[in-house]
Amino acid sequence: MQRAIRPQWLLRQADELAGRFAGVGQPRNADLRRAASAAYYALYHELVNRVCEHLQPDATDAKRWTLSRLFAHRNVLAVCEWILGATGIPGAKGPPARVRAAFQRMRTSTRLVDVALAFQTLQQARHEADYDHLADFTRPATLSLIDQSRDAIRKLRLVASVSPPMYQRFMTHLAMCPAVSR
Amino acid sequence: MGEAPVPSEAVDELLAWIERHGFGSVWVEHALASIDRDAEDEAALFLSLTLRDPGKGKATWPLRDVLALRRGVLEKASELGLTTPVYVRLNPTTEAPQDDDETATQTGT
Repeated sequence: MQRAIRPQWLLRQADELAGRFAGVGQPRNADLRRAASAAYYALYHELVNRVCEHLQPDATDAKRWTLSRLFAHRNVLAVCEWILGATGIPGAKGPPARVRAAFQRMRTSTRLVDVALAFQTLQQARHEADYDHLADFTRPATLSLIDQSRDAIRKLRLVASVSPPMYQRFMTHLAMCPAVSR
Repeated sequence: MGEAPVPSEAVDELLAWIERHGFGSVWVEHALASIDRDAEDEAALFLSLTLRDPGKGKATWPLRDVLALRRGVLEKASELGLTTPVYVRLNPTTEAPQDDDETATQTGT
């Protein structure tokens, strides 16, 4: 039986690995690193699943999951940075001129800004978790990353239900990013 | 294209600001800065913040306060004219041993 990658399952795995409900002490370092990575992938898959649903609302799950393989992490980050760049956050690249107005509207949503900031924070943490021997992973900080991922997913749902035009705009740019940046 | 150097006065001012401020229940005991490459291989400013330990019986800090800290630091960095990416790393004041620390010390693995 095929089972999809479900963001909620990844968050549960992250909680378990990071010892959310354990007593005192800290889990194994490798477990904390995998938890940080799972927290990132939960948010990544939530975003990509939603973009695929936005693009192919009537498609089967299998077709959407196939489509989801075409997304590049770098492009999702670029769109998130365009939101952060439009807010003046250091180092985050501003959007291309032709879509700047749309991003300035998106930045008025603090929920969307929190989603973008979570994606940027978690992608960097995942990179460190997987490659950086010198990175320090502790239980409280890893749990905080998981909290940030869960919060971003919750806020994304809120934006979808409370501000549909804002949500549609975000989804469209995530889908269009490679074309717009060329 | 060359990368602009990170102005050390602005970084010092940012660190001092961070250590003077509380973010809800979250207090920064110590702030350190380093320049390194980020996941995109760009020069970035990494802020390593040692926070007062989470409250008794809590495994981590309240997210609301952590988000206030993350947003506040980035806004201050922007106000100080920093243009490099800024990443905030959090650490507790007290670090409990991890499950395989003892094994790693004994076997050197």
